[in-house]
Amino acid sequence: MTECCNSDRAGRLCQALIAVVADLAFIELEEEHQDRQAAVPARFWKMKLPVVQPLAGELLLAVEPALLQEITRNIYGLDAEQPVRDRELDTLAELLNTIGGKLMQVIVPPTVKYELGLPVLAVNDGTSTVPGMCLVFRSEEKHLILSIVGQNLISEVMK
Amino acid sequence: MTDSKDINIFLIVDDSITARMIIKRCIEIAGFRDRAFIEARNGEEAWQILQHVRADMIITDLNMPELDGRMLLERIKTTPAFSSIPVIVVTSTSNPAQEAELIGLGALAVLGKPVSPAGMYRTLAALNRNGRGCKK
Repeated sequence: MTECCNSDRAGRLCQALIAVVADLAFIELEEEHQDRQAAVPARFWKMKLPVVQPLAGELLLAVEPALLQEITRNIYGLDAEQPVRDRELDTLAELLNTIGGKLMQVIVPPTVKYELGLPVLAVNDGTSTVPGMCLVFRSEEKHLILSIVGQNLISEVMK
Repeated sequence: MTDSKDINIFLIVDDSITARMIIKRCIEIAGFRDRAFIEARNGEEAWQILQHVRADMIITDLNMPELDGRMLLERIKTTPAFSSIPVIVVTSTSNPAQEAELIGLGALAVLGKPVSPAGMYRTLAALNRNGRGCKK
């Protein structure tokens, strides 16, 4: 068990998130820490994903711009000098969608169907604190934060 | 039944351009490099395309705006002109309960995201073993 994941399910979720980023973008994330809230600089890109059923809640993925750029370049197989700005937010949405599915596979029994909403870009209002259960990862010095919002969701993850 | 050697046109349906690119790349790596790929951003757009272009295989996401993948699948499988087109569902919300329902609706296979070239290859190869196609 890593220091960031203090339940079996949280540990599996962390490993699933790391595997998704490695499989899609060939980037090795490390778990940094877990907290009840995380300070997120305004410059981070943030995307929200509603969890519709069987539990209501929300996931928020915040990624440092340089890391999102690197993830996008790797997924698309682009060189460093090629622009990726127009694809970064779509990549972030798809990443969150995939991670959301992994989360639900961890907490929902295989006989129960689940439903996620559509990813929505979170307004960059300068808010520096993200509530919920925050899993913080890093690649070198660049950070990615997954926030799980909603008491029922958090309770299931912490089992 | 469609044989994969006859699959010349893939219709990829996903609201994410990134997901469509990944799916297309996986299909190409799985051995279908010289095929045509048409892309649609949701089920409704795919349905409109089908009125003009005969796709040989449809690969669709589930969770999309306007017309989602489940409704697209139902529409295709209940329309005689299109019901024989194989449909593979690619989704992040994949579990046994979901898969059973989609297969019951007529999906050929359900692949979880992130889709990989190996996963796509195995799915297409299984069609051959089932006598449904995919001879590359």
